[in-house]
Amino acid sequence: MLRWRNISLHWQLMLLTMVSSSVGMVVAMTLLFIYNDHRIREDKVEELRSAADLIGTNSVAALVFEDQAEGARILQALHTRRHIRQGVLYRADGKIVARYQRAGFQGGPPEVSNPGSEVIRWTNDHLELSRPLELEDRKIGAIYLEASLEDLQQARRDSLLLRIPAFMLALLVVYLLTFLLRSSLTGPIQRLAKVAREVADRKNYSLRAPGLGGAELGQLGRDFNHMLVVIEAGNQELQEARDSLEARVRERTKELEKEIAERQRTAVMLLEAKQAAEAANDAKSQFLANVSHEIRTPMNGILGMTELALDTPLSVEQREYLGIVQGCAVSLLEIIDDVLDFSKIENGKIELEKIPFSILDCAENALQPVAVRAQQKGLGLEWYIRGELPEWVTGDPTRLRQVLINLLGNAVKFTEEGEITLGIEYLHGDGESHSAKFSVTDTGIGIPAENRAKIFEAFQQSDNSVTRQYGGTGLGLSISARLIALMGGELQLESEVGKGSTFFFELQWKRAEERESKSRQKLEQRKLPAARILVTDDREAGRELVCWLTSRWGLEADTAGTMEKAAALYAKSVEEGRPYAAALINLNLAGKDGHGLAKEIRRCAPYDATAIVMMSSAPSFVEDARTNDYRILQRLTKPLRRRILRECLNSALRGDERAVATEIKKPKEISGASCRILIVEDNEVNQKLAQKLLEKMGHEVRLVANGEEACQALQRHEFDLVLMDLQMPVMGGLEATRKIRVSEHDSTCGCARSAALRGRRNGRISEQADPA
Amino acid sequence: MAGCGPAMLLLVLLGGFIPGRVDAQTSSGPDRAEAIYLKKMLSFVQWPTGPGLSEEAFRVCVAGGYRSSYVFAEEMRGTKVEGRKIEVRSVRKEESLKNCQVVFVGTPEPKQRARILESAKGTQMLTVGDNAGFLEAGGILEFTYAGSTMQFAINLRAAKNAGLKIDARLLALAQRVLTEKEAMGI
Repeated sequence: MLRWRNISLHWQLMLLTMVSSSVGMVVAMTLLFIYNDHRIREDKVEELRSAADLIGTNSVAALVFEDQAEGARILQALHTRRHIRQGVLYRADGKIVARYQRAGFQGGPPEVSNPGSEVIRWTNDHLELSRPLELEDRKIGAIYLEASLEDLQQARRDSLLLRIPAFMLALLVVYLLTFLLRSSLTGPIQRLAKVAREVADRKNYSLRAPGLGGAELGQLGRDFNHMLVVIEAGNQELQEARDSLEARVRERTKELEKEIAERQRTAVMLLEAKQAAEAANDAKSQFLANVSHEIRTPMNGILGMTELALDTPLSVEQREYLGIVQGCAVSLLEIIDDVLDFSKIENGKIELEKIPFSILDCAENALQPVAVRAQQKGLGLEWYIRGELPEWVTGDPTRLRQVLINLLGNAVKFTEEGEITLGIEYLHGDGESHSAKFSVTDTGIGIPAENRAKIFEAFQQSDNSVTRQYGGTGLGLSISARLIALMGGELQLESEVGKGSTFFFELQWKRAEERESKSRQKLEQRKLPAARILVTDDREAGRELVCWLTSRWGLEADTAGTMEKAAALYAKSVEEGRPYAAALINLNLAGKDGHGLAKEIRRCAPYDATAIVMMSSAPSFVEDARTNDYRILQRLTKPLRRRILRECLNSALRGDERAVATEIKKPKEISGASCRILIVEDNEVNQKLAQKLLEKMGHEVRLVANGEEACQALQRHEFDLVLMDLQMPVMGGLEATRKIRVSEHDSTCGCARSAALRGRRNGRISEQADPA
Repeated sequence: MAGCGPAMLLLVLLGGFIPGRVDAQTSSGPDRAEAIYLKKMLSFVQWPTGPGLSEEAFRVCVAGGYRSSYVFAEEMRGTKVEGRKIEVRSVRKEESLKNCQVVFVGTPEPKQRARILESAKGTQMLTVGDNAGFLEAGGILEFTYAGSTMQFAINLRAAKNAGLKIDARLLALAQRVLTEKEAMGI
């Protein structure tokens, strides 16, 4: 099928015209036909009516006087009307008075019709009219007329026959007219299309369409031309814009090149500045390290010599002065250590160790140095462990200890009365990885909220007046916070002014194989006998620690916070017939003397039923008469050390009567075996100090100034121990040690070797010449 | 009586048309047929209307002694002419004819007939008679008998003189119409 859009404009026009005129003609003809038909029918009715009028009027007298002849005569007048084929006159009662029939009409008379008013009826082949006849308002009869419709049908046939050729003729005329006139319409459009095609093909926008006739087509042509003008102008503008854009791009490129060059210069300058700054910083760190080292060496001398001097007979005044000198020197050394640590951390030069260590040992070691200071200030120092803490983990015990000492030291420093508690709380773990929370709680001055963030900054304390009152560099917390951060934790703080502070942090470690020394293992293997003990302490931390430890040693521990409760528990145990095997009593029980409880225990049961152990953190904790009175087995100083507690309990439960009054033992003199020791040290002060100290211990000491001399000395003599400095002129400690090992001269160079290895790992000098 | 046979025949015919009145007519003879005809004809005659006339009854007078007005009164009871009730009267003296619109001249006697017609001159009376020569004597309507059929004749000139208009359709039914010309010729 041909699609409308594919037909040419010419044929579209033709088809449109033909179809529309056909439709128009059909409509017009139909309307005309309907009108004509209507007219004919109207005429027909009118004719019949007029005939009825005439006949009716004329026949009134004939009807009145029932004159049939006259009636027939009047009806006969109908023969002049061709289409009327029957006429009947009726009397008022419906009887026929007269009837007329056209010749050749075959139909009979109509059914008796006696209408009240005029009735007109159309049938297929005829038209009927019946009407009443009246005289002076009286009905005197009726008339019936019947007209044939043959003429009407004939007229219809005729008009149809006439219209078909008329329709064809009209169509022909329309076709011819359209054919003749089409070019006036399609011509201009085709001309316009041709121009458009040319414009499209040749991209020639200077072409113009010719003037077109007709309002719309003319406007179309003008618009088309105008469009071409606009496009041409636009093209030109575009070309100009392109040209100017290229120029601008070139210009901008130049600018950019200039800018980039400038930036590069700036970057180079910045880099140089950065490098300079870094170099300066490095220099500063190096300077600090060097200065620290240079200061530490004479400080060692001062400390060592002071110690030696204090061991000599002195007057009270001299001793006091030297004591002050020693204290100042220790402080100064601490400050220098802090500065050095801080400097290392700042430069990222701290490397954490990853070695197996015991958390509990670490905690004990941290508590120990602080304990003396706490005792001096009369402060309680407790610690506790919570949860299934694995003792052995992998990490850096030195740094952890440093942090703990720092926090505990701070707590002691800022607390005037009350107690310091170190808490170790196991958080969670999954066999490999374990985490624990450390907290240091004091009952000191507290830290105002506004200063809490600041105190972790370097060289800051809660406020400047604090520094004046308590002294210190303010580096401690900063170093601790950074070390903890390096270990993967965060140092946090809770504090209430006037009530105290809690510093806490969480750390995570990998579990490590236990590494116990043989003697310790032996100790641990000696299992404690299963027994029940009573722990009485007003400090919860103290109770907790003893419970935690003893439960791991297989003991059953009951606790009491007050003397009354403890006495009740003990009395109950006696009643049950199995009194506690041992009672650990804190000397201070909420202000009451722990001896009171000891007395009570002794009153309740025989002396050998229960071993009594007293605990206290007071420095004035010495034996008195009551020790014997209540047969107190042992006195333990807080913070408790596991080894001491275990030994104590062991002897108590085994009924070992060897009483140890106090666990603080005097430093044991290294006695008996006197060693031959070679000291390799270039610094004269250090040489002297080491020599004096070792000789004092009863060893035979020989001095050399460098590694080469050491090697020579080793070739000539035998030594049990070599103490080797790392940095020395001529030959350093590392090289000398290697040389000695190669020659395999002596096997007791352990200390020297370990010192050398350590030096290599840290890449810097580690002084191990602490006289203590 | 010569006219008795045909009148009876007509009566038979009429009786066919107007059932229910046959019994009443048998005893009355031709008078009744004429009364019926007259009654019907009144619709085709137009009287000139004068003031006050419509208020009065339409008076049909029967003159001529022996002719009974009874049959006329009976036939015309209830009929109206131009909205006026018909009143039938028997008249003896010519003076009494004054207010009549229709006068039926029953007497065959020429002198009396002439006297009556004379007194009707100048009035608007429809003069009706059934004796031969009534039209020629100046009467307007004359019932005649042709064989078996009762017919009527009209003197158009007399009617015109009386100011009456006779419907053409009635004229078409008349057996004889005496035009002005014919009347003048007599």
